[in-house]
Amino acid sequence: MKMSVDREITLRMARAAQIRVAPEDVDHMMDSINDILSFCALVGDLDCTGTPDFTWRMKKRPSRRPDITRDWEDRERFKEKAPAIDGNFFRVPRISSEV
Amino acid sequence: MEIYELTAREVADGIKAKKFSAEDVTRTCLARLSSLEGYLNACITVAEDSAVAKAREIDSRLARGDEIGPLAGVPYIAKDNFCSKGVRTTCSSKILENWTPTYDASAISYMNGAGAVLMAKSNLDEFAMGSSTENSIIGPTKNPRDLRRVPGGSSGGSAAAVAAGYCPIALGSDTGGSVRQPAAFCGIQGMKPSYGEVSRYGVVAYASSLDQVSPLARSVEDLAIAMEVLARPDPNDTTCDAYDRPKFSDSLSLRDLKGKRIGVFAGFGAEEIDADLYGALTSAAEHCRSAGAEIEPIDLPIAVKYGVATYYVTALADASSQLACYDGIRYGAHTDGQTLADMYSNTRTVSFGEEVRRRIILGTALLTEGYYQNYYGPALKVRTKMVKEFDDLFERFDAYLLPTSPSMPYMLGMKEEDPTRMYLGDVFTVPISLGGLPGINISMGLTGEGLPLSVQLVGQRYDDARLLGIASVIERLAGRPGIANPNLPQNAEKRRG
Amino acid sequence: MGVIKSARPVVIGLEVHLQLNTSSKLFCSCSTDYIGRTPNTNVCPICLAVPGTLPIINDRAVALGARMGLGLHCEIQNYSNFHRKNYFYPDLPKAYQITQYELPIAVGGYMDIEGDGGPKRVRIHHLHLEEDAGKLVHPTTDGRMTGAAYSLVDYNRGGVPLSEVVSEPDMSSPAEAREYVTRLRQLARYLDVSDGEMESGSLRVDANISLSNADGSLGTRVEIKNMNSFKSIERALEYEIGRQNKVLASGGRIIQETRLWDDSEGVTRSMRNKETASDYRYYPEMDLAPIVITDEEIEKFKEDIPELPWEKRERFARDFGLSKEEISVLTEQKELAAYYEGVVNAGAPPERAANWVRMEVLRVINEAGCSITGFGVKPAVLAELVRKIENRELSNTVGKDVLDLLVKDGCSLEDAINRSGASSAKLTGSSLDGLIATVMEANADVVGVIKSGQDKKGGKAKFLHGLIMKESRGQADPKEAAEALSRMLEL
Repeated sequence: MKMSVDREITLRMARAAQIRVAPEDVDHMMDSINDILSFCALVGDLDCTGTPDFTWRMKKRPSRRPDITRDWEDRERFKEKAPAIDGNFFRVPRISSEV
Repeated sequence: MEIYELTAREVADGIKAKKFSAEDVTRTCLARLSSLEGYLNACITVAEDSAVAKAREIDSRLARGDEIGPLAGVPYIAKDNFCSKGVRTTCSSKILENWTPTYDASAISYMNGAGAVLMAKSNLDEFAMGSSTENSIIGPTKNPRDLRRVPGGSSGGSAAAVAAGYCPIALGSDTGGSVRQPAAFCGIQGMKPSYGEVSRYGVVAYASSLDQVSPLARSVEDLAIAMEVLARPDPNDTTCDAYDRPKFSDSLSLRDLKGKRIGVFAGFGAEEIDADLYGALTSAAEHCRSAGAEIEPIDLPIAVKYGVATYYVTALADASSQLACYDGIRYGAHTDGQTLADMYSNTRTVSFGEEVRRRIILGTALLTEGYYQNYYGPALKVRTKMVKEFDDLFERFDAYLLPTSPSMPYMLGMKEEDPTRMYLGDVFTVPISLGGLPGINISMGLTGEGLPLSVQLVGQRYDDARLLGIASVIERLAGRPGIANPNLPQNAEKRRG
Repeated sequence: MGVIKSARPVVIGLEVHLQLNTSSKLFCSCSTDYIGRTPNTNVCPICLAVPGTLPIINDRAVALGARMGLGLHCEIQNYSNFHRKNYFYPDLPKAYQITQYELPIAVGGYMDIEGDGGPKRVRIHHLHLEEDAGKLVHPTTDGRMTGAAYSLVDYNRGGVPLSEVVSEPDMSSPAEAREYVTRLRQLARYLDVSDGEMESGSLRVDANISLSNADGSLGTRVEIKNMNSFKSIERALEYEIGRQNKVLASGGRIIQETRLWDDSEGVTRSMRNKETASDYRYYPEMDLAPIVITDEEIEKFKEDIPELPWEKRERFARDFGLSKEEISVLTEQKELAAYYEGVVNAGAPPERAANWVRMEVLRVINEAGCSITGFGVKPAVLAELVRKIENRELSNTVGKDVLDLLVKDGCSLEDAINRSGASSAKLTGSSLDGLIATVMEANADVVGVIKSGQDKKGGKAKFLHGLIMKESRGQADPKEAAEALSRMLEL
């Protein structure tokens, strides 16, 4: 089924993606989403009754990792380069302790 | 013949035979790079010092009589979405502009372990999203066969570098054609292996279920050598199959195609495919026939009709999720904000390019409740059907031929505005990715104007070695591509020196 | 508990998160031992979502998930996979959580509990594996919750393996909910799947609660989070039943929402700004190969399952003839049950051993604040002590002193008995005489027989001595008591 978005949904999706769309660009973004939704609605046209979801088949069963711990030696160097570090913590703008 | 014109095997043999040193090779290739880079803009970072140091190390090991690897002293370039320890890895994005990984991608480790010398990190469309290598923090890469044209993408930097003779071999990543199409546009060989054949560990993801590490070279033999180095089980990537690979170079002993059945795509007429490329497809089929193969026309109705839509739904959705980790907290660019939401959106809006932002929002839309049920959900089933279509076909065929791109490399800046037409550029490459099949772009020479022609050879999943064998037979008949000697503008200003 | 009467039938379903007993995280080799660690030390490129990294599943987490599933009578799936649950939050480095969504590792099943009206079966919808999030710290400059302009993130807990057990809405009271969680925790501990500590967050409970309508149809469901103790589960649900009844009685409507339990205020509060489920954006995780568990592996997992709590309870009833109450206490922890069995196997009579373990051993370890595994008296030693008491070689009271000495001084049983004999004769002198007088008064006929000289062999005197010792509850020294009795009988 072909779907579309309006300005409001466009902005909601941009918010969910944590990307700002300037007011003058909203229409363009909306058109762009609608182009994709319109073109890709094709995937609904093929009768896939009884078809399972895609997944990769593999020749050999993937192995699982043994439960062994290992320290990461580059930890401190990594933290030094982090954009917002505070002592040993990563720092973000204040959020309410709730949620 | 100049050293930079040699293939990887010729370079490796020459070094082993002490015809020239590894340092000679690396310095020659670096010189070739610096003489053309101002025009091509194929590299984001050139690791000159570490490359020379590595080449010297190879030389001293050789002098000591130590065991050296199959690619010892062979310079290579990796697309800048391969993590390289101590070498900046930008993904051509502002958000990773100053990011230096603390680890090597498995593919990089394997190449380095085989003695290859990492010379540079090549240009790409930001986060591999694009097919022209124009959408980059360092600006567009030019096609060395014609500087006015795009090199294809997103691995356009790697393809241009190999075509121009910076290095005999390069690494790219192919999600929906990102190695095969630039290989076609630049007139070289490029192979997307089967999904699960090569580890993706350390390759910054665009779409997990599609991305494959893919070598580019000027000979099928070099592709096979690269595959022998790259394709192996990796405990760091569980989607990389743990099975025992055949010896890829053994397949090169194939002398003819007797007893092989090869399908030739006949689903599109000459009017939908560029006439020269249609001609290349026909002559590739002729080569196969002359080598003893049975040729039959084939159609791929599901793949051709639904492939691009399925691909876009899959890749965009995955991209939106893959790029969510760039939140300005642990690494990468960061732009402050009063609130958490401000910080997130400031960081991501400022530091992702326009096309990436657009694709992230599109992908987010496709995964949103309601939209998912009408897009992502069905796409997962269509993809299963497409795999079935390929499976059925391979019951009758050993391989098939189709175009890599329906069109010739286009002019720089010629952005396709009509989305439906734009998507058609991917029509022959994305179904192969969706099916996880190996696909090789094979050069079919040049047009009268010097523009590259090519064809795509596709095999059954995990049949990579045999496919390389068939490709080598076609290459023998069609001729191996030479390097491009760009027609440098006399008075043009170099972008950089 | 469970005394709140609801005007409408209560329907409760629970989602219980158990932190799995693994050494390393679900998808990387970082340690899971995050409590008290310096922030951001148990981290690596994988759990920090460094570009290019891929998750690699922990084999033991899969085994423990399957094990818990088997304990819950679930069907273990040969094929299960993961999804990404996409949303932005600083404690989630990839901005998605890897969790089993459509095809979890264990499906169906049940847990039998002691319901309000007798035995009850709570159905299990499924058990799935998922990774934990990191932790946020909200610093305050002056102790208030507002103040600092930033929050801090610690990823030590990020990626720790959890199994989530989702029940059907089969519980009808807060007491049943608590009982279910108690049983679930007991099972997890029996199976060594999780330590199940609520205080440290190894066991977390979210509840879905609704009140049925007059016509029997289900009411609107409210989700309660942030219940951090067994007590708070009951309190929160009781509060919520009261609240919902009040809203409905006054003609209001229940809103489908998530509410947080505030333990200090004793209320649930609507959680503002919570993203609704549809905003999470789920889709299949393609970076991870599916979990394929062969039938042979499932058989192996089954073989590895130890005796489960209910099996042990049945066996204890059958083999030892204990009461339900005794069994319940003894089997609460498998270590205690094992200790008890050790005592019985070393020759102690089951009933008296049960009594001793249940009353005395638990008293001692509670006083010491240790667990049964830290209890120093070997089962064989306790068995010997219990046997002596059974044979009346020692009184119960002396036995307790002996046990205390064994625990305190770690001496041999013989030493402890010798030392306790001297120190425990607390009934002495005139108070002992008083007791003897009482016994003699109550047995005047026997005294008469002795005094008349008919107790040639001293049997009657021994009988009186025995009574005195019994009445003194072991507090009299047997020798002193014998002498005093002789004196008072004027023998």
